[in-house]
Amino acid sequence: MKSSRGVLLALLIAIGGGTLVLTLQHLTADHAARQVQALQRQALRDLLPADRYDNQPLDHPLTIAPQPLAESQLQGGYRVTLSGQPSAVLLRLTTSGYAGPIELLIAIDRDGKLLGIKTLAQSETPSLGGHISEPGNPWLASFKGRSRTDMQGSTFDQIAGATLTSRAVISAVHDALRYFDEHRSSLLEPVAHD
Amino acid sequence: MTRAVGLANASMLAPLLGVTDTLPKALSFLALSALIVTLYGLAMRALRSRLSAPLRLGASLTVAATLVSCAQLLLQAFALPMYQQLGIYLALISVQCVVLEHNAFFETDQRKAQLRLVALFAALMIILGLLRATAATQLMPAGFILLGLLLAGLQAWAHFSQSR
Repeated sequence: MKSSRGVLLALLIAIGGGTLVLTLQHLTADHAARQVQALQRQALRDLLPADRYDNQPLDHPLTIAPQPLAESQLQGGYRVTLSGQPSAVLLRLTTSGYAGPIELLIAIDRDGKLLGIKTLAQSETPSLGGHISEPGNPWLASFKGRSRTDMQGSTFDQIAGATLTSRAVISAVHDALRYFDEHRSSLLEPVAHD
Repeated sequence: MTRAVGLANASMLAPLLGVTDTLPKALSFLALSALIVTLYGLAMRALRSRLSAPLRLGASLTVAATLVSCAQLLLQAFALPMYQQLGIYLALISVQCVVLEHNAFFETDQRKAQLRLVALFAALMIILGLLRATAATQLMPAGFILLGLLLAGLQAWAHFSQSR
């Protein structure tokens, strides 16, 4: 008798626990989605000066198919517009770092100059390569204003102790600028309606 | 129940190294795990006597998983950056609960051992969090060495004060 009551109790706990978690998930889903959006907007603010855009770039993906570039993988892109005119593009690339894939969002303005780099995901060694995910990282900021032509032939500082991470990021930036240069007209096509 | 509830048979090593690279991370993990272990202890106190041993394991797993899932959901909704920083270590709190349960940590006659373990864990988390704020010690191996030194110092001190 006692054992059957025990089973019943265990079953009740399982059902109760499951229900509690599901209810909580349902109740907090809106909040969680808003948090994710806030974080994305923050990423965008880190990347682009506010006077550069007036649309929600993340809601305007470019129609580019994911494709391999020389040293990285192009995952997609977004169009940034200012008063209806395309002012920049954001390219999302993945590359392999030291410890796993690094996902980068690279902003390039309409003249092919780099506006900023934001690390979206990485698993590099903390306090060495891991620095690339800190907002305002000076090493990533040193790429600002570079274009494809000044990337070629020039050498870059590397993060001390993170040669592979640095090399992966540099080649991804290179790839992004080259891709932009080669597809400039189609990427900056004026949009019919926003 | 003479099984010792020490640091060795509690699965605390992973978070001690994993979340102590910055002090805020260490403190928030400490607070969350204290809260979850307390709630778990309260829930299991009500259930333990009514369940046979195999069922107790199942119930303990369910309760621990439920509590941690709720904590994760709430963090996702209200403190997403913290949730992302703590990552997998949050889920480890449920393993922690089950391991402590298995080692009879929650038995009422273990009051002194409970306090000692909680104090030790809290002290180690805070000291490591403080010490690892400098860049060189944020690396996992440096944290490991620091933890080893701390524990050795603690043991030497205990030995010294006993022999006097």
